[in-house]
Amino acid sequence: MTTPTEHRAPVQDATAATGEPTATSGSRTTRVLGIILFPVLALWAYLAFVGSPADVNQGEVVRLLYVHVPIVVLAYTACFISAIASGVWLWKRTQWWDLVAASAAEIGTVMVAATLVVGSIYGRPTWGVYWTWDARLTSTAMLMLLLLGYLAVRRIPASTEVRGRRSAIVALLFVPNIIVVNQSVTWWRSLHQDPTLFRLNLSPEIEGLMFFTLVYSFAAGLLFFAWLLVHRFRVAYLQDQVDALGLDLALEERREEGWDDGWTTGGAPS
Amino acid sequence: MSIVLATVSVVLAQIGSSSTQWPYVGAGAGLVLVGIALYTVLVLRKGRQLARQLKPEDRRWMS
Amino acid sequence: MLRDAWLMAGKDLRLEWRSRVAINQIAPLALLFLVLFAFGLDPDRGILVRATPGLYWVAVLFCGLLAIQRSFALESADGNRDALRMSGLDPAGIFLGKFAGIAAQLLVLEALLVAGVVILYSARLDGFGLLALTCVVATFAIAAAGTLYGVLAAGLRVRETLLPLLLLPVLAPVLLGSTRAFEAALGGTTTDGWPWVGLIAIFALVYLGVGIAAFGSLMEET
Repeated sequence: MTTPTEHRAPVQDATAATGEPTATSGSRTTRVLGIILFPVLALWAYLAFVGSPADVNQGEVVRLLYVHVPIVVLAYTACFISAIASGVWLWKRTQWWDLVAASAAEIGTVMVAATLVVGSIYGRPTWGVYWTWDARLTSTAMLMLLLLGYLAVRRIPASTEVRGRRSAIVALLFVPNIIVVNQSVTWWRSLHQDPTLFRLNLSPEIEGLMFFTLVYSFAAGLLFFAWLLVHRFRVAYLQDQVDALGLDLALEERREEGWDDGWTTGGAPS
Repeated sequence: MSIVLATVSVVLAQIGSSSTQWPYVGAGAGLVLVGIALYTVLVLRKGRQLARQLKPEDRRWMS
Repeated sequence: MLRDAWLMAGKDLRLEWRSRVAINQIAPLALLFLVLFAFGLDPDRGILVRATPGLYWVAVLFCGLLAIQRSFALESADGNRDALRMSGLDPAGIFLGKFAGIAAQLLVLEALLVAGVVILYSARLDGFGLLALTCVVATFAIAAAGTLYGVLAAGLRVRETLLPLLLLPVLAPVLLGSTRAFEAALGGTTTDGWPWVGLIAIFALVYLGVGIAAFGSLMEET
């Protein structure tokens, strides 16, 4: 049973301030990141819900923009990371890339679900409906289903190699899917507004403090995403370790059985 | 799970009939932020649970 | 590669011909779908006529699922997969052969469904060229994606539910495109339909490419 340390770069210990390994997925790095996150997210909450002005047309509801749009960005980022990591895994076949792909995909699923929820609630006061079958919502729902399919493939009872290969192929499809989602508002006439920030000429149509809050929301969101991804990756790695341990234990038990029932040849005490 | 869904639908029904805007902001932001926070807590707890099952030298990960 | 594909497709189609499952079971099921939709939707013919393209393609998708599952169920019996791997056939050829077998069955089903739709829903067949081309291109897309995901789900006990879960969201653009193309064809505005056919064609090519490239490695397990 090969351990990961045999063919990988130096491994980092989980140490608390006292220098002893802790029973968590944390480490000095994530602790620092986590501590930084508190004021960052507090400032985001202040700016989004108190500091920034209400919109002329949408009123207070525009504040949901600072929740909805960053979450969409996080969802896309997560899916891209998962797709790229899957691609690299198909090439390099190291456990690291496989786990990155799986972790990012799971976080992506949570983010897409959140996008659909916030978008739906945002849609009620602005468009009058919770849901409509326009291009962007439909393709986002499709992305959600695709991600659920990916998670289902990850759960199949098979070796890590088989599981990795099959889920990687599913993940590669995230990329064209996201492109379709983002561009769907321009390709088909749609209820959803045109992409504000990601059009290629990058001329934003909102301004001042609202614009700053929006961009700041991206930064805060990405920081949170990075922190969460690191933790989720480690959990995935620990899960693989525990599974391997379970396998070792089962093999040991099996070997023990061989001694007891007298079927072994040569040398076994009867 | 059904309790969560029931709560969500009650919340949505309430805000659906509201005339001011803050309930929308509250529900939208609240539901989602609570949801993401829940997921985060689940991840961290799973990490703890798994790490406890391993001997200390196995509790590592690639950097 | 093409010779192997021909061998593979021939085997699958010969098996199908001898057992006649597609003809005896899947085709009647397809017609049953059409009848059920007529029951479920308002008997007032107006709705059915307007919904015809969508209903047609949903029926095709579901029957396509059955055909794909059956195609891979054939391989899971008696260690067929191992035999296939050791037979020395080019994996890309196996992929193309399976793809061709599924596509052929689907095309027959679609011809039947078109007849059914004309008779049961009184559809008019203007723009027949667009109709036919849409059917061919969409069939290629469904068969290509279906073969790829079929092997991905193959050999697993959860295969019956995993395959639709993976395949249907992926095929949603094909559903969209073919429905719009059909609307254009049946409604007389055929110029609107050609861009959709182009979209589906790109889709089909992408999946054919990925399938040819990846099938070999996907076959190598279990």
